[in-house]
Amino acid sequence: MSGYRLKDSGIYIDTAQELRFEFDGKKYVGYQGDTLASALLANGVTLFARSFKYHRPRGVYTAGPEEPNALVSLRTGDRHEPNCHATTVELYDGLVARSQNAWPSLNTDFMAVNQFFAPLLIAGFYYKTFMGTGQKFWHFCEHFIRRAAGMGQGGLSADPDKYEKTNHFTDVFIIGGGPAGLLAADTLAKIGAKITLVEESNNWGGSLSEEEGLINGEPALYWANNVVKILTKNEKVTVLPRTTVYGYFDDNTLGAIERVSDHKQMPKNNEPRQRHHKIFAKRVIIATGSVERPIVFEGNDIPGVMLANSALRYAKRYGVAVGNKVVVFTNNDDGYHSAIELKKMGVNIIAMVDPRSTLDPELKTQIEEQNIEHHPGCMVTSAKGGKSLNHVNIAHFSRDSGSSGSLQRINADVLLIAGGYTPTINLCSQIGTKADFVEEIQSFVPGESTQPFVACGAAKGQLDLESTLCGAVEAAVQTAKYLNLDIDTHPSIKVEKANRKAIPFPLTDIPSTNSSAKKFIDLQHDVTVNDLKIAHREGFSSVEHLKRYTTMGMAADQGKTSNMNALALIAKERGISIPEAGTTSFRVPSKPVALGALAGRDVGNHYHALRRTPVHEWHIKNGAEMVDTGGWHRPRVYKKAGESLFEAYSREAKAVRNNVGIVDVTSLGKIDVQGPDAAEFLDRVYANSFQKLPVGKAKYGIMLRDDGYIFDDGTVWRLGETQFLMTTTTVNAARVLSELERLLSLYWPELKVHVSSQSDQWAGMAVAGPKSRSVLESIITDMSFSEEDCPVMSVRKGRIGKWPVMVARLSFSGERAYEILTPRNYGLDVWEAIMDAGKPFGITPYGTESMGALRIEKGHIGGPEMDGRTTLGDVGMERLSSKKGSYIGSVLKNRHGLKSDDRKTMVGLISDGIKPLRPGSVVLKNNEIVGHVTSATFSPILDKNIALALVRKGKKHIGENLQVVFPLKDEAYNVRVVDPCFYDAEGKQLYA
Amino acid sequence: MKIKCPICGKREASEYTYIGDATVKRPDVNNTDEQSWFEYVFQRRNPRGDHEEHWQHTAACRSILKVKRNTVTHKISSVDLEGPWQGQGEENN
Amino acid sequence: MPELNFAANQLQNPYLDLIDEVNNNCVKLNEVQFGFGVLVKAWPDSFTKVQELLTSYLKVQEVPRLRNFVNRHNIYCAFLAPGQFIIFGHEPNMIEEIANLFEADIASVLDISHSRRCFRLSAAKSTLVLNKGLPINLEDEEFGIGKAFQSTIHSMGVIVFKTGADEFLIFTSASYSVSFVEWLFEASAEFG
Repeated sequence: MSGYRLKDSGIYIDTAQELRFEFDGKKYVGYQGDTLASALLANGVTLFARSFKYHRPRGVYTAGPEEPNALVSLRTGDRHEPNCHATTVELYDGLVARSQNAWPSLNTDFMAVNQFFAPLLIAGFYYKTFMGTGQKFWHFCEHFIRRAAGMGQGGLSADPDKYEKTNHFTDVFIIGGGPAGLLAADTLAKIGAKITLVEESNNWGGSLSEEEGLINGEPALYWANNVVKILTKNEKVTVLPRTTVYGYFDDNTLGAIERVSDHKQMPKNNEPRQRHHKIFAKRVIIATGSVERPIVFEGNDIPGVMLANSALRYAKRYGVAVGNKVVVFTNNDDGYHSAIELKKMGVNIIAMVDPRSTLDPELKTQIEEQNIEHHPGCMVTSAKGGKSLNHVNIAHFSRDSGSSGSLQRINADVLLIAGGYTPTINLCSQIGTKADFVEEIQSFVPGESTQPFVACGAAKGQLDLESTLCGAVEAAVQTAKYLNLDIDTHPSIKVEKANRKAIPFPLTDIPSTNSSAKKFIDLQHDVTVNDLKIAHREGFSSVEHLKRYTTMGMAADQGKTSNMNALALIAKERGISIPEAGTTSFRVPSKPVALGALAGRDVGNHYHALRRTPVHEWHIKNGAEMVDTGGWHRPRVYKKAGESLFEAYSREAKAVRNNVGIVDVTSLGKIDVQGPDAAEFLDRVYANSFQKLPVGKAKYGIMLRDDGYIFDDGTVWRLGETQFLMTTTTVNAARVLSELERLLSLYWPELKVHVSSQSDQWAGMAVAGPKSRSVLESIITDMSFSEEDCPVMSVRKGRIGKWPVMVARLSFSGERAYEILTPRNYGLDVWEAIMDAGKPFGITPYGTESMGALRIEKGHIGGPEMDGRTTLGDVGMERLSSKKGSYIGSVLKNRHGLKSDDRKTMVGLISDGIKPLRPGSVVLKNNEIVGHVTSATFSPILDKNIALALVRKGKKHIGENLQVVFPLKDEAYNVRVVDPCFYDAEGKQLYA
Repeated sequence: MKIKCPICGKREASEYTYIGDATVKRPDVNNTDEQSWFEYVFQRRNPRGDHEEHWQHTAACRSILKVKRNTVTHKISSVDLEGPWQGQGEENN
Repeated sequence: MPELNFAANQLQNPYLDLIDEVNNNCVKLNEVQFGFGVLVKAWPDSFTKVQELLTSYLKVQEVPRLRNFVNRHNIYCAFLAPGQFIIFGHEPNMIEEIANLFEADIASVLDISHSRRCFRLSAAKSTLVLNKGLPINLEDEEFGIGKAFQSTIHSMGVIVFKTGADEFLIFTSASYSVSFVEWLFEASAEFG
């Protein structure tokens, strides 16, 4: 096969604009408007790729996105993209492309040796070879298999391009810019509908580039051109070229990718590479056209064998002749059209092979006029050649399996095959529309719509121009009716001299000359007729099994050029009709989608939105290392110069115990509970009671789930007779609020209570340490800090300068401590004021790491102890639930399983090791697992590594020595079991 | 999947949070019968076909909605406002 | 033979046109300071009373209907969820006045002055920019002036009032406000 450029041809190319490009290191020249494939064909390139499994040499098969063979890798460096169809890549100056799946080169591919293992690499290869051989053997072989299989290489660096995402609303969404889509759009635009029209390529008219017929007296493509011009001027019409619809979802939502700058060497400044559109349409019109079907015979994958209509496209659109000596094998009239038109354009068509014995006399005349050798009643039995086609063998057509009649050899470098057309119904199938078989065209068309869409044109099996245009009008009328728009039901369209309809003569399973010959059904996955037959013999005959057992139709092309042939073959094997055999469903996406396009701009630090406290910038300026908790950024530690994490949090924790520290607690969930029944509500929610809590007092509250396990804890402050402020842990804030709303809404409507989130209203900080009172007393006015006026658990209101503050004497660290709440906008000022006032006392800001160390030293439970598997009894809080009334979880917490004395209960562990223990480590006694570590830290006060753990019959082990192991890192320590409160068990420090 | 909130209109599923099965009945606050609570907390029929469930519109009005959804086709046949404000929504527009 | 080639960018595409406009004031964002914010929540049996009290206090014809807002003397009041009115205005002492309107069993009143920050988004492409993150139809037929809604943009809660053609007042959760502005700037980058 050696293609060349035809003179004065090619409606899409501009020969005045030359483009330089590179393929596999060789430099070539093409024209503006070429695709990579057309330019390479014009330069005489035959070999484009190596096939998936067998590494067979492959050439271009088609002229569109259904291309199974010519997959290339584009661009270099971090913009590298594998598996691009050379047939759809728009050529630009400076384009660099490489072939795939071949080593060391496309021409000399060592992996072609796979072909000799072909008998082993049949359908079901993996199952049969590795079943029963054990994991180790599979893992060993997998390494090599993975190297050998696969197509292009994925890139390893981050995608530097920008992608955008947007939402798009429209009344009518028309998919496809061919004759059907254009006429539907034109008809609806004329009556004022709001339309979005998308077309996959950058050219309009679709199949009209090969259509000889006239529409309303003009050549078909002129008509298309005019329609597009009218549509673009229409304000209510949005036209999106280079946009592929890849998914059709429920509720008439669709996903499409607009290739904004893929046709340029680099995107312009701020230009996204691709844009993802989420489309919400009232009605959809699917005009996705059809794909030509190959015929299956021995050697049908040799470079030089390709689809007939595609060859015509190369000539008409790009002015490229695909070869010097061309044979055409067709089973329908459209093949003749391709042959005759090609001959008229100067391509050397030497023979027509057709299994049908009788031919339309008009076609017969044309064939004779063009001097094309005609072989009626014959079929191609094999194509022969190595890296390119050498010759073709034909024989008389016979319906029986054995071939009869003599073999005739025709030397040729291109064999065009025309097997009919398969409507593209992927999108319809994605939303569950069943496919109906149409006998005449031997193909499936969309059945009854499951969503508000209508298909028209070739996609609906209307394969000739007249019925396509009629179908488009019908679709437009239906759509208009649904949208309540008036329409003249007979817009005038006159079609003359249109191309003939392709009515294929069924040709399934052409016999081969020898049994080891390969007849490819799925070119992209290297699935042969033999594979399908084996699958059937082994019982995998249903289409669903067949597909998965042979991987037929599972490649990136989703079997666009292979599904129908496979279905026809399996139906024949099973002795049933094609509709009886049925089809599989098409999955999203119908065309490959770049992951970047799906992510849009939600990458990097935009991965999820960040919540900041008002002191955020101050933290960062003062050396804080931030950590992500529940969507908020909180300081983990404040590192001084040269400090390690360990040194920093030890210093901070020591400062709190000896002096005073301040920590930002704004992220804690805060919920306002208001209403006459607020107290009653809280009593029902918490395990401990709140009815009697006086105004101005706070109380620790612990909440259970309905199943009796601990849900969350926090403090509740009574701000008034009917108003409380609940705090929750940062992580559970949203869940707790939802739970409260659910209870009030569904089950307790008799309670007059409102719950509202206040997490954004208040900034919070905890000032903790023996000197905390002194610091705060120096700046907070309007309240007294004396022991009588401000006892532990009291809530008071005061001011710092002009800023109002609420002070609650609560402690998480076990030291004297006060939680300060101030309206959010004053947060930074109040923080800085406290820092200023605390300077003479050596105030230290501290983060979550030291906060954790402090609370662990006191045995206070945190998130890891409330992981949903612990009860109050497990963590030593059973006494809190002594009230008589019911509350969430009060019944199921008494299930005998939750009361068993065999349960893991919380204890403290002191380790002798120098490294900290790890949460999740296993606790062993005499090599038996007795528990696990929940929280661990280094304790600056004890100068030892400590942990909280859940151990079976924990209290019984106090004083014993156990072992803690972390097998993943081969760590083991000896520990002593102690009471979970490691420091100041009497709680004296609260009054320090 | 889109759910038509009676208060806010048709919104994407990502704006909602699944709350639970709407066909189970929570025992009264003062009910201490372990069996009733066990059935409410753990027993679910998991039907194939039409199912009633509770969703909360957490991204907007925070109403609890009773949604009748088909677990096979995901088709939503009705959405009603639950709770003390039942009957509000579209009529109140 | 008439010209059959035509470049893609001659076709109407709302995004392509804008990329070529630089510094064209296609999107304008200003922060709007307000003096107070208050959330009034009624119960079903007190809802009518709350409506009455608010109507007379705000001196409006009637309280806003669902998914709408009213604006009188720069006091905005919107009705977005059953029984709840959200009010923003300039005089901080109005919080106490509003709280005093209702007894504890009629409505609960919550000060949310610091919970939200407000931005005005205006100029030609604001709808397109918002649509990048909001799958809600903001076109005039569906969402006219005077309408309000609550949703999330990129999981950040927002309340949006349409105050004019292509003009919006956006209230974000205070803790998300920086993230929101960042998102907005990036979303408008290609529009200038």
